Amino acid sequence: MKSKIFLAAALALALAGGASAKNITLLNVSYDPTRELYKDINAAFIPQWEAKHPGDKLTIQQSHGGSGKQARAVIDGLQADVVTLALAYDVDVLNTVARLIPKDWDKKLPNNSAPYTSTVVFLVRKGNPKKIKDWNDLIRPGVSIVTPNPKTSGGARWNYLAAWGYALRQPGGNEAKAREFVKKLYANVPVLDAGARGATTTFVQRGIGDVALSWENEAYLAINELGKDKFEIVYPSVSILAEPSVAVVEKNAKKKGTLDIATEYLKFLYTEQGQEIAAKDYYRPRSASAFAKHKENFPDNKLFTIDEVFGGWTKAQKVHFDDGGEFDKIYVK
Amino acid sequence: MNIRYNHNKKAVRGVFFAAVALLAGTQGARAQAVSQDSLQARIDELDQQIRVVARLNEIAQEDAKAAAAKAPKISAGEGGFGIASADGAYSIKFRAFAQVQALDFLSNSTPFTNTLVTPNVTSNVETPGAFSIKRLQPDVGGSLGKQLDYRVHFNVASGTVDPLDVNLDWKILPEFSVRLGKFKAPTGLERLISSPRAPFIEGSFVTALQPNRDIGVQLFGSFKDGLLEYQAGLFDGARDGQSLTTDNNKDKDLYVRVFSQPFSKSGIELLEGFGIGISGSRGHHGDYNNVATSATVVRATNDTTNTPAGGSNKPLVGVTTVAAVSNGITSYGTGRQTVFTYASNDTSEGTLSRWSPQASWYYGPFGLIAEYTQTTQNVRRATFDKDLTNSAWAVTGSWFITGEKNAYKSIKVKKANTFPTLDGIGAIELLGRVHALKIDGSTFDSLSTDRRVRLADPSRQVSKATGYGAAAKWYLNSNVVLFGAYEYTKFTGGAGTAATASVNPIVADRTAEQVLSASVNVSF
Repeated sequence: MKSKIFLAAALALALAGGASAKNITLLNVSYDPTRELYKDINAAFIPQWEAKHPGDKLTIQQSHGGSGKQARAVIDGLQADVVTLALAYDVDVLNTVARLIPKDWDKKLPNNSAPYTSTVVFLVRKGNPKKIKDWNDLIRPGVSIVTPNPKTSGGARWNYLAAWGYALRQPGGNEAKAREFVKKLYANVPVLDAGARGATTTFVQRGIGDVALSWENEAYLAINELGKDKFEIVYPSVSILAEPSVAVVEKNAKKKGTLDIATEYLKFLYTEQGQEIAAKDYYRPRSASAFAKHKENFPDNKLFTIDEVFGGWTKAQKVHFDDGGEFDKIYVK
Repeated sequence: MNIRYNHNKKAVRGVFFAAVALLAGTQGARAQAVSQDSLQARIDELDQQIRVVARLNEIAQEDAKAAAAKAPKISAGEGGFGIASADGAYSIKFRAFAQVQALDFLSNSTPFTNTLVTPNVTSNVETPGAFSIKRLQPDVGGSLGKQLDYRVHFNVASGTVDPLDVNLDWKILPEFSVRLGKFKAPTGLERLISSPRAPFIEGSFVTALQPNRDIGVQLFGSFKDGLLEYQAGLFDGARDGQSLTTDNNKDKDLYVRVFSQPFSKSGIELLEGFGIGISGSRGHHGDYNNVATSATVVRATNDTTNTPAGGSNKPLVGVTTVAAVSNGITSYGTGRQTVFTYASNDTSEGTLSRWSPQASWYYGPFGLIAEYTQTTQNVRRATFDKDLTNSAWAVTGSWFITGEKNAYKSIKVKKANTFPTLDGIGAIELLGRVHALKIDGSTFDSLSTDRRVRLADPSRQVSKATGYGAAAKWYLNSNVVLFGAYEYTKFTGGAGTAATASVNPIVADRTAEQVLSASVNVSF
């Protein structure tokens, strides 16, 4: 009698598990400006998966916010299957702090698991009334700058480092001069939003500031949605090559039984179709053909990498953004 | 000439003044333009400052909202008091139920033993005519993560801590979950109802034939939002009416219950609240050491009668003594007095099985519960043993005359009473029930030539009991209920003259029990 009961229980469990396998839900935890990108990616990926796996019902949920905050949420228990964050450091902490992903996560996919790139541009009001052409125009008195908080926003960290890198690369540039330059720049920042989308709201919808330091794709989005007669993009003489990174949150995905589909989802970003979607949403694709097709959207301005100027994200994070780092010193003052 | 000079002089003067005037006008206009530009710049600057302040305020509100969303939530209301994490995954909730009772027997109906035994707690003795704390039950429950629920529910009315429900639920799926610990075994509707919703203070005879709480593991779930629910589990195996604390044999009892509300989604309002089900259990109850356990029985000081069935076993007045309670088998009663007990040294040595068809129907303010339970148990005395089948049925109806929607789990008072302002009357529920107990007739058969050897003495233990009850509940609000009831229970057998070695007993009917009871119930 007992064995029959346990057999029945095991059968019920198996049936229950089998039934749930047909309804798959993935959670993509991403950063602020990627709402439109992953909406398009999901719309393309879901029918492909369901066609290959008849009977499956796939739902992909999106979560967006400041990249650093999103990483913290996953560490705190948000059951992400994949993360698509603004920078490698925010992905890396999922390994160093919570062991949710393997140490070599960046080797799991091509291009250090960064399927597309972007850069930092200036979004100014139509006619560029403050005549802002390059980074040094930002520190003029009376110029009001909008940029998010580097403590919470990945995009803001790219903005900060782009400014620092520019100052370093000027004739006679050094760390002290760069610090002074960035300090003056942040003295012109009246509002620190938590994320890039919030900063766009501040500049575009609330009408605050003369210039917004923005992801290239976010700047295009603002112009396309709100009119080319209201804003224009200024490409500075030099900027930073931003490499948003992606990873499967293996510990969560294994527990949920979504490891395969999560991996396929991220691989889809590297396909020609995925790269084309990225380019259409103004992310710079890795694919040469997709880049060539949309090259008019991506001016060939001078870009430096974080490895070249700052020795990688781990070092940059520690020096500039950890508690007590350069940003804290600069912004408190 | 002079005229021309003067003329020229006047012209020059005019030109001079005109030039001065023009110059003055130009400079004034320029000053005015400069002033307007400055003013516009100042306005722009102030506009920016206002926008910045507004945005900072907006961000602060967003941050506060985000922080609030992450903060633990404290709740306090008619359903209890609790704390929960922001996502609800971790929580603790404090609830309680208290019931203060007063009861008395109408004249000529005082139970012959004057021994009032609360159901399932045979050592708890009450005195008629006295106020007593019938139930005092703190109840702590909550969640440990999204899949684990816990409950610690105990009764302290007796002055000691009596654990009622101590269990952990692993909620895998709505259709499949696991419960482990001590809790109500899946039996009947009245047994499984929560204490605050129990129709009467004492359960019916049907409930007396079902175990109270058992220790074990149970699989459970429901399909289609309660269209079909099931429970199945392995338990230590409690006796009828018993709330088990320690296992008394090595075997386990298997319990199964299914219950369906087949019309719950039909849209037929009349039938949506109809449910029907069946439960059953089976297990081996044996391996007893054949030494009787005992329960305390007190003969009240006012019990001076020696009839109708006091007999020689009646305890001395005011003296605590012990009465034999057979191993593995139980006694049955009205909740106020025990009316049937097996004889000393009877034991359960075989299979105990129960089955219980059950149905309920709720429609608007009306509610009805109907149940039947049959218990078959092997009872042994020395070399004699029999499979005895006892049975009981009960029908309980209720009607909210104030129009509240009747329900099995909880009801919502329409207009709570706010005494002394009397804004609302509260809810009034009228209840009635009929229930009966039937003891297997062969229980009373003589087992040997010695006429005294029987599994139960028919001159002391009743063979049938039928109860008729009427009650009213006044829900002042969802937390406070005043209860009053009258119940008449008539008995077959249970009195008379005991057998001798050579003469059969002379069996008479025990005096019917008429009891008035009242209680104040407080729950949250």
